[in-house]
Amino acid sequence: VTARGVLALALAAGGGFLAGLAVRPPSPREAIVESRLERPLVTCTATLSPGDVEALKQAVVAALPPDRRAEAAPAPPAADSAAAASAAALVDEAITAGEWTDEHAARLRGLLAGMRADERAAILSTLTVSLNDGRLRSRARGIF
Amino acid sequence: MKKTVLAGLALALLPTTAALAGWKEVWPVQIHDNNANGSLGSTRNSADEVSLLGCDLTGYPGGDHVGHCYAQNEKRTVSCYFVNEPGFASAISSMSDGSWLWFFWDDLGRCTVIDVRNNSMWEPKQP
Repeated sequence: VTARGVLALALAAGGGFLAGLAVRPPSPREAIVESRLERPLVTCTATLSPGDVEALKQAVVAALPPDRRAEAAPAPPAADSAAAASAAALVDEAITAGEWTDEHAARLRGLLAGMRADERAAILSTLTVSLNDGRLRSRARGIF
Repeated sequence: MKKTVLAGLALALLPTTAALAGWKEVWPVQIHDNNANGSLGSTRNSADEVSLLGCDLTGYPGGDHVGHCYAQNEKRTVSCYFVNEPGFASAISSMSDGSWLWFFWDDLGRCTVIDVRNNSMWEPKQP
């Protein structure tokens, strides 16, 4: 065996080792490091609008078997009470006239008793905003 | 002898005289962009027949309640309301004839603050 032969064998062995490194699969630790490096540095800040959420809900409900749709669908909102409708008409009438009187106040007091809390809030908001922005002037002793 | 009696009488009257010199505020209703304030007594005692200031609270079966505060001068009437807000209801319940009131509202007319002060500086209502 000549020195040249020994050198050739050594080069062949080294080349084979390097080739093996190039084609071997990454170890689990290397894979984790690589995975972390590839993760985007910017996070998504997109949000869903209420309309998007509602559309998503409808799509989910539509995808359910027919016998499961009824239990998954949200309950419809309760219909406005008759008192709420009358109160809305009363406030509209006063806004048109530009004046809130003792008679309006007395009628509203009676109607409020027959309304749900959310209905009371809605009509009182309409009335109060109308007063505060000057569309309605009170001639009543108190507002209601 | 007469001088001694007079001096004693003057001393006896001193506390009464001092009581007349307490801190007094006259504060008729004032209306601003999103708030109004004033003393109930001073507002009632205003010379005009329009000034008005106060709060009302109404209860319903089941514990529900609504309340509102309002202020009025010769130019405008303003108000705020609340529905089932125990903190505001409690503040209104603490009001008396001699209270000073300050309330704030938001764009929807909802009360955001109701501040009631009860102390000796506010003038009482006159008949």
